[in-house]
Amino acid sequence: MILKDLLKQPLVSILIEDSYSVRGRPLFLSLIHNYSENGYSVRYFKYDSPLSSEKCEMEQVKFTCQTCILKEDQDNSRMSIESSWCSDLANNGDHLVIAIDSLSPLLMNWTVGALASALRNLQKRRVAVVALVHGDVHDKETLQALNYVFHCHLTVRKTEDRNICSGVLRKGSGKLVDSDEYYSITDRWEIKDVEEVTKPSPNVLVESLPKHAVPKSTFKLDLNAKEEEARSQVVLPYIRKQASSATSETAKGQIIYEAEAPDWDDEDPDDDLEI
Amino acid sequence: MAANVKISSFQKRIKPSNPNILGTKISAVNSTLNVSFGVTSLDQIIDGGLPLGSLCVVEEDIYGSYAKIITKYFLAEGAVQKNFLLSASLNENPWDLLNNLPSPVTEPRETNVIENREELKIAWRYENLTLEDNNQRLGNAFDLSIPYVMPETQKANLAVWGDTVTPNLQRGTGTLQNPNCLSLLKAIEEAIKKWELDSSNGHNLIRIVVSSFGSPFWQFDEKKSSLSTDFTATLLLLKSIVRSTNAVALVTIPHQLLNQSLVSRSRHLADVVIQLKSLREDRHLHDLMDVHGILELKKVANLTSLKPILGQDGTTTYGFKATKRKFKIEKLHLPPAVDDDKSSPDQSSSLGCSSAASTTNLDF
Repeated sequence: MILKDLLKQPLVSILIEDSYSVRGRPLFLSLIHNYSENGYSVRYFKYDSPLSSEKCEMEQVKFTCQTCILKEDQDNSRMSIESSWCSDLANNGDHLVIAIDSLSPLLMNWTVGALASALRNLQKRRVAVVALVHGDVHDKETLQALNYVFHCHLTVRKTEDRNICSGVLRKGSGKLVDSDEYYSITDRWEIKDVEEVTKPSPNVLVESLPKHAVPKSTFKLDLNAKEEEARSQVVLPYIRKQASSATSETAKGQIIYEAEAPDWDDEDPDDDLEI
Repeated sequence: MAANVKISSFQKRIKPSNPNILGTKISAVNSTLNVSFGVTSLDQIIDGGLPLGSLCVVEEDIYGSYAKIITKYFLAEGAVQKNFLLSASLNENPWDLLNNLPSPVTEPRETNVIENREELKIAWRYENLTLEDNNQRLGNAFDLSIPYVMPETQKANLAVWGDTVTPNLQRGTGTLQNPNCLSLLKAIEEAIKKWELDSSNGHNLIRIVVSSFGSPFWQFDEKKSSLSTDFTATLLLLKSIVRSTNAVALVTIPHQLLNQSLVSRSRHLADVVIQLKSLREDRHLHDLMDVHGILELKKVANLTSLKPILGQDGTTTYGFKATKRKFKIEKLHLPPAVDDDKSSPDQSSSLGCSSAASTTNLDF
């Protein structure tokens, strides 16, 4: 239940990956809205210019946070961006969340390594980072490297008109946690209805393991009800014996041999020879 | 007749005890000085342990969690044997690794077996000898759940690299240009000089552990042209350092993130290559229900002879189990083939013998 736990407390680094078909920005925005409501101070850095349909949605959100939009004429070097992230950290203490929307334009100029070391600097100062990345813009190696760098990786997708968030969380102890959760977002940018996706268990085919494991053949080898009843009532010989003998001495395999009467035949076998 | 005249020149062979260097034992297979991994099952597979002066590369599982357990065991064994330790990591704080080592536990010796033994009538000469393990066990047993409290004397033998933020590292001008690599090699050389490990009559060795070498944090992709030379040259220089001093190095690489050619070059360079694969990565491995992953020996180089070391029966694929307390490596075996209701019919096994997914009712 990764998303549920994330709503309570932000992790060291969270990456939300979306694609063109399923937008992840609503989840991203509502997550940071949740954090700002819960007392964390959020710094929102916007490097993407959203679509016009998204713009009016985002204007409704009133964040009590700083925004910073990447402009064409500004100094876009790595140092300046990093310093804008790290600026003024001393005042905010431990409850700072940096939200990056999104990483995709940054990754066009930066290497993943540079991003990784910038994130590492932020982690050392105990700042939580939430970032959005567009999965279909980057190649597989970049996405793999990003998954390696971030501790928690969420992917959004849609099935049957419900949004699903699949997450992989890497805990500090090295344990990996997977989860698939439904979620929905209200008009007020709140995440609600977070529940786990439960696959309906497939109907177990009874034929695959019949009760008596009768092999396929043309003979009637199984029993009908009457025969089964009769069979269950048969008392097996050794059970009777075991029930009667209380001591364990006869439990060992004992051969009981009664010497038979010797078979002496008085007749002479050569009697019928006519010599 | 003096009682102490030697009649024959026969000399009873004494079991070779530890030579001068702490933490090593002479191998029974080839006379190299071997260093224990800390995981006794791994030592047995590699016929005694890691030879002194060799470079071991561990190809990590995804996200590297099981490889981290192996490095913890390696460092813990060094801590118990009072070796010098150097932990280098850019993924996380290297002190975190050193502060969370497993603590050694002594396994209870089976003494009651000897008491119940009957008096030997024929082999009475063996009566007084103790039951001994034929494979000389090199290392100790550890418990992962109890963090090791290092004695103060051992704390002085620790060194780390990677915890201080050094911005604006200068790129090198020679063959090796990556500033992180240069800084790491420099730190290793300094540690060796400080502890005088390059002298010929040293009594101790240093265990060097580099975690997740080649991950994005190392910034190899900063300059694409020098990527392969930096990576390979660093490993080569590390190997030459450990060969010429009393040192062993364990380097873990996230091989899924790296170019395949880099991984094969590192396999050629290293002396011992171990690959870990967790169950998550391969759907087919789910048939091996009781292990947590697969350990493959990709390379076990023999430094002193031409004969390859292949372990027991020549198998190179083993399974590993990582519980909360222990990490153990064992031989792979298929679980009993039972018709299972729960197995889905499309989960076909690549391991031919396992018929768990078969749908026939024929039962032989």
